[in-house]
Amino acid sequence: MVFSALLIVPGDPVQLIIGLNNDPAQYKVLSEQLGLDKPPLERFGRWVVGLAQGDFGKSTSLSAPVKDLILARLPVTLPLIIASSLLALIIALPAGIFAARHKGTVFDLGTVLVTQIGLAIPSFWLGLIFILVFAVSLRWLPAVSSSVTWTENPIAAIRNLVLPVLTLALGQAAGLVRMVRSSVLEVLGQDYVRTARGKGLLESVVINKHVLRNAAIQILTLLGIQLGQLLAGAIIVESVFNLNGLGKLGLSAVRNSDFPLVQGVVFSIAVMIVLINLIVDLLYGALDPRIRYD
Amino acid sequence: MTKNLEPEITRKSEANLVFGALVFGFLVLSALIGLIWTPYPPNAQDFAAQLVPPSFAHPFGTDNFGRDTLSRMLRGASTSVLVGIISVGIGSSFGLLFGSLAGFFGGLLDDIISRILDATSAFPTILLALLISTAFRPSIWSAMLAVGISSIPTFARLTRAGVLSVKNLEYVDSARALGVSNARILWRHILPNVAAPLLVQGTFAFGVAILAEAALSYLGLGTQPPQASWGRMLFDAQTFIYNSAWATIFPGVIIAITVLGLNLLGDGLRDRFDPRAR
Repeated sequence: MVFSALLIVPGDPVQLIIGLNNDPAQYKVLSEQLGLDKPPLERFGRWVVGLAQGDFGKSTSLSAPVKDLILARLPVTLPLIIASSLLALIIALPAGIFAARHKGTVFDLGTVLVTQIGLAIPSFWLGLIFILVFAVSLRWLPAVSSSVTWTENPIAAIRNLVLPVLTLALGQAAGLVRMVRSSVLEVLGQDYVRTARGKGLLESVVINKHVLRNAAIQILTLLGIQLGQLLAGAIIVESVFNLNGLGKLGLSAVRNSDFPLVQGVVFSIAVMIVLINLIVDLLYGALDPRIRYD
Repeated sequence: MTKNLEPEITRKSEANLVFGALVFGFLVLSALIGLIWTPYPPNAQDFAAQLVPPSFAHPFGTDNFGRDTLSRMLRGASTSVLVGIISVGIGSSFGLLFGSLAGFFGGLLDDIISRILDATSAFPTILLALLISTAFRPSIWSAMLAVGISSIPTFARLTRAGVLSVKNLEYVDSARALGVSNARILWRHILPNVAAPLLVQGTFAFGVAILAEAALSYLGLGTQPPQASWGRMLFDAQTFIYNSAWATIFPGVIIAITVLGLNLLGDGLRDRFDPRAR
């Protein structure tokens, strides 16, 4: 089942792209460009063949190979996503576990309330509020990122990322805390946990060895889904903080009707999501010996 | 201990329901008012009153074109409700269709539909919106289409699960034995069982749609100027964040309260109508 899901996921952007190529308005705009007078299926075929050879086509607005444009933006987007997911985990794991262990207490109810609010706040607005507080009022950090690279000025590059990472991570943490809490709660209700407590194990041993190991599978699944959302969220956060990442590239491509570039950006994000799913699936086997891939 | 918790849970879900219903009622009311009457015309520019702080004449201040923020927020409420209705309409109708086909007929059809739904749900709304707005121009309609399509899988899965759980019960068999057609069995005997979870999901999806429209409009992929939308207002406000912070505050707070209200309404409805899902 897992395998078939993986097989299907990469098919999706492909279907969408066929649909797009059929659109008459787009067809007219781009028809004067090379190869576009061919039937959609043939163009689609060429695009797939090109992809297989590492050729994403050429951007029509920036007149550069799509692949180079995308690769140039990865050093911005990847650190943003990795740092945000780590921070989200660092916040969500302890908070979720603590809330589950103290179910019904003020802390638990408070956590649930805060995450409920966190889920309702749009990420771009949270970003704007951070700009308002940390950049406009306190003047600690830059409101709009300067365009520095990691090699030129690593400290400025990190300062650029602080607010975006915080914005993205808090939004993700809100969802993650709820999920960690509910999966830990579910395991806590199992018979083997009662047995472990019954035989007099320390509570910390029960939590670490019995509860967390069993809740890990669920949490990992959710984390995989969240990473996909994080990639999408990065598009928004990059444009709040004017970070020159993959998302901003995609948005400017839409504005310029740069079709190959949009395709390339969407395709590479979709590939990353598939890769994340693949890694999650492989980690299942490591976490739970009952799951085997033959 | 569990016994003592029960009434508290019920009380909490009642509170959720009431708060959510109030917020939703307020939203719909604002949307209707926004269509009929606003203190100032929402798109009227007044260059004598640019970026005015909140005052008696302009309770929420004005933006960089001197447009009244309160008027634009009322009209923005209409936009949000429209987006919610259309997106949930797309999601639930196609979800109901695909879900009942997959659940009722099963077999290869089920496999094909389910795999397509898996793939669709793995595909982020924003990417879909990027593609759709490249194909047609970015507009509130392309945003609603993207949000609606993204919400199809959840509706479809709920419908499918509901159909599967009742399609082999005796009363369905007896209906079939009476010679009732498939379409009528689905519509009269099976789908009413799915109504409660779909209603709950519709409430959540409404909130998601409002949030997504705000984000897309903020990115320039949704509502186009000069039309008022909460997300678009935040985009406009960002440029002037140094001299008029209030323009950034109000639309964001309203979005957050609205979505929070819809989520709590969904929680409350689920606790009341669909106790199994708790």
